[in-house]
Amino acid sequence: MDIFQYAFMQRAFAVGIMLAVIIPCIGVVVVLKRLSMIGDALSHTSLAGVAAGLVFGINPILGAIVISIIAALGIEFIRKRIPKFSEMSIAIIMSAGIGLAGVLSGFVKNAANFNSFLFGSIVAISDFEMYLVAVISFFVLLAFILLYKELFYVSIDERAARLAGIPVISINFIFTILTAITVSIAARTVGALIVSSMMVVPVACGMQFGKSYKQTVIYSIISAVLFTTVGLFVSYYAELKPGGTIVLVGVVCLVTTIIIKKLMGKSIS
Amino acid sequence: MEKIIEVKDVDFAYNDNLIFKGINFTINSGDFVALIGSNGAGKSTLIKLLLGELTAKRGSIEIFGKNPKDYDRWHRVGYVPQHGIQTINNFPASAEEIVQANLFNKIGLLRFPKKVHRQKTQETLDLVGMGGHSKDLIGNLSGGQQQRVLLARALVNDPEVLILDEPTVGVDDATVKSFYRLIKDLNNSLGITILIVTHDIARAHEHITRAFCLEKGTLVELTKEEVKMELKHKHHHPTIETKGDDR
Repeated sequence: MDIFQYAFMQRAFAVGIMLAVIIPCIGVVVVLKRLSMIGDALSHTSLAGVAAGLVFGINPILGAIVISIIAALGIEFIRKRIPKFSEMSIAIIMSAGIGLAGVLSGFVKNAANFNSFLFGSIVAISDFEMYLVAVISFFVLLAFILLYKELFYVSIDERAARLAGIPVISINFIFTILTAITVSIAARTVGALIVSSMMVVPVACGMQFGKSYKQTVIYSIISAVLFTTVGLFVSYYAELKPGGTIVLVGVVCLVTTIIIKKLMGKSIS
Repeated sequence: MEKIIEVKDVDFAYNDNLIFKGINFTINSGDFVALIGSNGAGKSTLIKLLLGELTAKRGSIEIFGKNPKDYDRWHRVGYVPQHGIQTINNFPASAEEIVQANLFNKIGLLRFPKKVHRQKTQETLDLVGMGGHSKDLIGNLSGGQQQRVLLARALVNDPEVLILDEPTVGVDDATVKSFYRLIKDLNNSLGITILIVTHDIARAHEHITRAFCLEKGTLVELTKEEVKMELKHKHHHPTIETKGDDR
């Protein structure tokens, strides 16, 4: 196939599939803890890091990671101080991040480069970025596997998890850092504006088929790999933007699955 | 007789809102205690104090002789939460995954469950009559079955005391009956001490050995005659037996 003749497409597939494995791992916990908005807040705030990176000549993904971690810790900090209105902390950090991104973007000389982070540019990934994604994906996946049962219990019932002896505060802290890192590197591929949907849509699909938590995680990963692969093929041959195409493929598959399940349920009953 | 829980002269207030004052009681090994009281009387608050989630304004609380805030052997305490069914109902997990999660302190941080842990999980599900449903998605089980899975989760560490916070809210009458028989059996055959928060004194009274009533900021232990009086009162005011609350 001519699509694989190009080194940029080979890199796009490699990076896309690595991210398709780790994003649902984080996404499943984000969804089950009902924290979908945090993914949105962190991805938008990561744009400030991208802009700062481009202005100061640092790699924008590294800039996004640093700013996302600071933002994630900021959300936790504010949440503890106003516990009765904890969702405000997400809005405050998101506003501050977007504001900062807006101001810094004014100093970015190459606007096209900054815009590529809004909707992703998986086909414009450098070798350094591919290796960075590989190393980060390895550590995020390792952390997810090692903390699998802890994250599961904390997601289902924090109080029972604490009574069982799980260090809930530390686990939540580590998970926040993992989320921030994953969101930042995913911003480069699918784009900061749609990264949270990439966290949620494959998990929603996985939940349609999974008969256990383990199966849900596996099906979510399979869904994400499928959406990414199909999305890249479609975007290449139809000359569409890859990030948006990947997410739209996911949404179409999800809606189709829900409709088929509903129809099958009706025909059985 | 070993003291499992000892509460002495405890006052508790949310900010300036006094919930209860001068609470005293002791729960001994082998007791089957019902804690009753109307909505908002502070029953769940008392459970949170026992579990170390809240701090008393005054007085002392001991669980196995230790302040709950400093206690670190919670595997001796099985806990079935209020609204537990609603929490797990939409969660994509199988019955065995939910039960096995509570074996954390036996499996260990960053470690994976072994055959012995899977066996223990299956045995506990068998004990509550859910052995045949271990692979089932929790959301596909009935309310009563989900409640038994939560009970299995609380029992998997072989606890010495079970604390159940309104476990039968939203479950049908026949299921409630068999649930009480099951925990009475655990109390009799395994000697597990039971503290159950309930509105359902009518269902509980034939199984319990003691009853505490938390009302208007004070806690009193009811005699058998008073429990009977309470039953008559409930009979005339059936609307009191409604849903649980968060306090």
